[in-house]
Amino acid sequence: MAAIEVSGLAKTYRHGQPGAVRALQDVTLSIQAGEFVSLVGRTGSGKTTLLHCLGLLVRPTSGTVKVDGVDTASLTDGQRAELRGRRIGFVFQDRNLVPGLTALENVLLPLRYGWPRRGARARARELLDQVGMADHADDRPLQLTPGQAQRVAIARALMKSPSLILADEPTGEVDDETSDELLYLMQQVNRTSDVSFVIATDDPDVGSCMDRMVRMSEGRVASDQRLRTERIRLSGIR
Amino acid sequence: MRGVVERKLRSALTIGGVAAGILALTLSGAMAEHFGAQFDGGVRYYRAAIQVADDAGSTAGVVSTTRIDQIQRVPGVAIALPTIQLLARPGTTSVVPLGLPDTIVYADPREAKYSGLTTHVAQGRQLQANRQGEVVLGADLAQELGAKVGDTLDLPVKPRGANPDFVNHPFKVVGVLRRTGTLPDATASIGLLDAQMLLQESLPASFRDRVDPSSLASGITVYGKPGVNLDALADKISSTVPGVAATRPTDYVRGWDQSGKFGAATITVEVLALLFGALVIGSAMQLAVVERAGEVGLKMALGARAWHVAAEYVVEATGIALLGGALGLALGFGLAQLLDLAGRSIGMDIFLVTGRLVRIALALTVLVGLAAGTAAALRVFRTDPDVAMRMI
Repeated sequence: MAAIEVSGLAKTYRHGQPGAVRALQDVTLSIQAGEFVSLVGRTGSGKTTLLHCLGLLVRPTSGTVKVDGVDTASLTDGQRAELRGRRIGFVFQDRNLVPGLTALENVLLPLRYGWPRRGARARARELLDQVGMADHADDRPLQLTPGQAQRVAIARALMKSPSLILADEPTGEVDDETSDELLYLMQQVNRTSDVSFVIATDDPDVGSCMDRMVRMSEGRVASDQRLRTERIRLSGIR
Repeated sequence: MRGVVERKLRSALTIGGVAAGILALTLSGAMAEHFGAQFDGGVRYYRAAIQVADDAGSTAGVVSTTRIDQIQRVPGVAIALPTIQLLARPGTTSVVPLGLPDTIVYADPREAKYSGLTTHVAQGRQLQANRQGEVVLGADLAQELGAKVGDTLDLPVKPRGANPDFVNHPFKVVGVLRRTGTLPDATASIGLLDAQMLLQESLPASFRDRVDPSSLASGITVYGKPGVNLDALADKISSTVPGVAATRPTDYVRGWDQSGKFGAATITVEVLALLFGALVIGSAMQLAVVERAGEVGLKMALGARAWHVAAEYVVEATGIALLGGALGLALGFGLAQLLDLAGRSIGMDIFLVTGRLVRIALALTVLVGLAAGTAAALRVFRTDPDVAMRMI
C-alpha cells in the first residue's frame, strides 16, 4: 500500500482573488512504504507547497491526498492534526528545534500533544543514540552545530514511529560533509526501517543519491525517475 | 515557563511592567482599604448616635454638661453622655490632610453598651473610674509615639515651636487597644477629670478662667431608645432643649462618608493600573506570537492542534502575569510598610494591605494574564500553518 498518494492535486494561493498564485497544478504522485524520494526543483517550483500538502498542513484547492489509504479531504483540522502527528514526521531546513528545550526535550516534544508517554524518555534517548547524539541529550539548540541540530530533528521525526518523514531542505544550512552525513543517516534509517522519506531539495546532487527523484517545475511534476543508487558513502556524493 | 527564562530581557520587562501596574494597584488599594475602614467605622459610630453641641456657636467649642439632664428628659432618649475630644498632637494635623487626627478622648464607659464601635485591649487594661493620670492608647497612636504599657508620656504632645505657655501633663500608659482599623486606633483615652482639665487648658485665656472645668465637655452624645427615629429625635432635642444644637445622624454621617468619592478615585487608579498591566503583557504576548510564528508552525507540524499551542500561550501569559503580580504585590506591601513607617511620626499612616486586597490583586492579575493569553491565543488560531512553516 502506498504510504501517501496524491491525485490531481492543485493549490492556488489567494484563490479567486486578484493576484492568485498557482503553486501546484495537477500533481499526481504515489510514495510507497519504505521509499527514499527526493523532490528536486528551483525555488518557487512548488516543492514546499507539495510537502505541506503531503504533511496535511495545507488543504489543496482541488485533488486528493491519501495517507495510508485514508482520504484526508473529509477530515477535520483536528483529525488531520492527529493523523499528521501519528503518521508523519518533519525535518526542516533551519531552526528546527524549540530554543528553550534541551535536545532530549525536543525529541519528546511530539508527545506533548496527546500521545502516550510510557517509556518515552527511554525511546527518546535510544533515538538520540541512533542519530549519534546521545552525548548531547541535555544540550540546548544554541549549543549544537547545525548538523547536530538536524540529527536531533531526525530523532524527533522518528519519535512516534511514523510511516513517512517529510524533510524540507534538511541539508540547506550545513556544509557538504555534514550534508553527506545527514543524508547517510536518513538513508540508514530508511534502510533499517519501513519509513518512507520525501526530501525536498534544490540540489540535484542530493536528489541523485535517492532511490527516486521527482523533479518539480512551475508547480507540476516535470519528471519522475527511479534511480539505481548505492548506499551513500560519507563525503562520496559530490 | 521555560520561554520566560529563555527570553530574560523581554520577560523581565514584561514582568516589570505588570509589577508596576500591580504595585500602583496595591498602593492605591491599600489607601482605599485604610480610608474605607476609617470611614466605615466613623459612619457606624455616628449613625448610631446624635451629636449635640452648644447652640450659641461657642468659639471655644464646648458645651456645658448641665444640659445633659435636660436632654435626658426628652422622650425617646435612652442616654445622654458627655464626650471630650482634643487634638493629641496639635501642630501636626495641618501638615497631614489625610486620615484621622490623633485625638485625646473621653468617652463615658456606659457608651460601650450603645455604641456601634467596641474596643478591646491588646495589652494592659482599660481605664478605671476615678483614676487620674492614666491613658489607654489606640494601636496606631501607640506605634506612632513608640509607647507601651508602663511608659509615661506627656499629653497633648508638645509640638515643635510651641508657645511658651503650652501646657501638657504626664500620663501613664495603662493599656493599648487592639487595632480596629478605624477611629479608636488614633485615640488616647483618658478619664473625665483629666479630659476636662485638658479641655479647659485648651480654651482661650479670656474664656478659660470663667468656666467650671467639671461642667465642660466638647459635646454630648445621645443614644435613642430602640425603634426611635434618631433624626426626628435630634430635631426634637434642638427644639426643646435651649442652648444646644443636635445634629441629625444622617447629616453627620454625610460629612463622614467620603469613602464613595475616595473609592471612585481609587477605582480609577486601579483601572488605569490594570490597563497598563494588560497593555504591557498583552503587547508582549502578541509580539511573542508573531516572533515565534515559526515555533507555532513547528508545533503544529508535530501534531499540535491550534488549541494546544493557544493553551501554551495562555499558560505563559498567566504565569508571567502571576510573577509580575506577585512581585508588584510584594513591592507594594513593602513600600506601603516603609511609607507608613516614615509617615508614622507625623501621623501619616495611610496604607492597609488586607487579605481582601491581596485576593483582588491576584485575581485581577490572573484575569489580565488570561485576557492577554487569550488574545494571543486568538492570534494563534488565525495563524496559517502553511505560512508559519515557511517562517521556520
